[in-house]
Amino acid sequence: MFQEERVDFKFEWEHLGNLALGRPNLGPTTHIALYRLMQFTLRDALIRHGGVELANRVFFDAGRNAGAAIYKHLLNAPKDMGELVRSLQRSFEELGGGIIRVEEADLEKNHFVLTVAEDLDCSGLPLMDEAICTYDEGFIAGILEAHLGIPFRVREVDCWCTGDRVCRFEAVPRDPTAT
Amino acid sequence: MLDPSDAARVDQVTEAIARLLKGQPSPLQVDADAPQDEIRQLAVYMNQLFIEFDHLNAAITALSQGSLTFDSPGRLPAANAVKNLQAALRHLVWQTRQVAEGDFTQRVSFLGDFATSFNSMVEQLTANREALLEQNRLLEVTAITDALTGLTNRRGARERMILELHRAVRAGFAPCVMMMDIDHFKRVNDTWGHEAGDVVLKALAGVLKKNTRFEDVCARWGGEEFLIMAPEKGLEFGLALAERLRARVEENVVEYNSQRIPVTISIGITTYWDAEDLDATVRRADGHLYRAKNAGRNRVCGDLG
Repeated sequence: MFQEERVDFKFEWEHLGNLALGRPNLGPTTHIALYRLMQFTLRDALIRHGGVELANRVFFDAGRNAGAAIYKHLLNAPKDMGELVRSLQRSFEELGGGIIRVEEADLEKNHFVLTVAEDLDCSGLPLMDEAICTYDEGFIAGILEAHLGIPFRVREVDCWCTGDRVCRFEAVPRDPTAT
Repeated sequence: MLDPSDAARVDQVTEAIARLLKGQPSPLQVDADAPQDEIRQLAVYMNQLFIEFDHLNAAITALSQGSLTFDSPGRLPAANAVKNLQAALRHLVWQTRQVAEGDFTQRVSFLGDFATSFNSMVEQLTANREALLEQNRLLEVTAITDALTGLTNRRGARERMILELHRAVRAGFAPCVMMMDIDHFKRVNDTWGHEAGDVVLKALAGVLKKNTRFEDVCARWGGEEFLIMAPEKGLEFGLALAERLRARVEENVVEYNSQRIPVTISIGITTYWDAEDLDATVRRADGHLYRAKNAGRNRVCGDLG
């Protein structure tokens, strides 16, 4: 499964494994530092081998797949945007992913502004004057696309690493023909 | 001791700090030709502090004026606290809007005491709204219910019948409608009093309710007149039902103050004719009812005789 070449994404929820069986002593949680170690060394290697653009595309696509999988397996088919937000907030806080809040939700134009505080990826990182939460961008796009059935463009407009205390994401419908 | 030029530069920095403390920050002119020493570095830091102070000042001023859209590039811990507050308030604005649109599940989990007050307010709004909805439901039921018998009143019956008749027209069906009236009801009132009359009305309502289906319209039309409509049932079913009701009422002698009050009813029955006015159907059933009265009471008359 993880050694096959592919042209389509093949991730499935079952690939996360049986954590109760596999980690009877350590349990399902880990230290954030370990997660970030993997995230940033992976990003480093991707940039080294393929460049920044490729690294961003990989992180965005991976985040989008994760968002779609979380929507399918954890969010219990929310019937409207309010229920989606509540369900996502609850799941994300339970998983320790961050504190999600909504600042704008224009349901006619499908324009959303979300913030994530205590973000898993970046909160506490040094100032770098660059937004780095590309995985979160993809994640939010994946959630919205799964819920609304249209493609989304998500951009991180504020990040802990640009001096803000929350990461702020703006999501708008994406022209399906755009790359 | 500092030499005079250094002393002058220190004076400039000191004055700059004093102006900053008065809320009038003004950047220092850092001479490019000045020696690269601690005093020059102090001036550079001082100017950075001025800039941060400006950012902080602008952010707090914007916040105090109710603006939540300011974009502050400040990096001081105090500026970060303001940005945190800005983000929290922006989310709160959205939450308040959601509550205004009827989403009473919104709760605030930040801003300390304010969160407690906001959440209490939303809980109270939810409780008030539910109480109002319940009152509305009760009022709606009351508006279409006859207080004495508990049957549907004329208004409720008309609403139901119009719906049922539309359905019947779509299905190409002619449902039966019957009007009934207690025989010699005035005599009951005159002999045993109005309280006994009420007991008779309630007893009759009980018999009608017991012998009709849930989906039938069973209503007190007014006074001692009652109406029954059996959706999806035609004249043949209606005639059998009417005869059964007439017989049950006759069998069911009403007791009032240990006295037995015999009650009978007369019934007029018809079917709804396609596209006619509801009142026309009721008038026709009423006409048959009066025929039943004139023919000696305690009987059923209808379209077929």
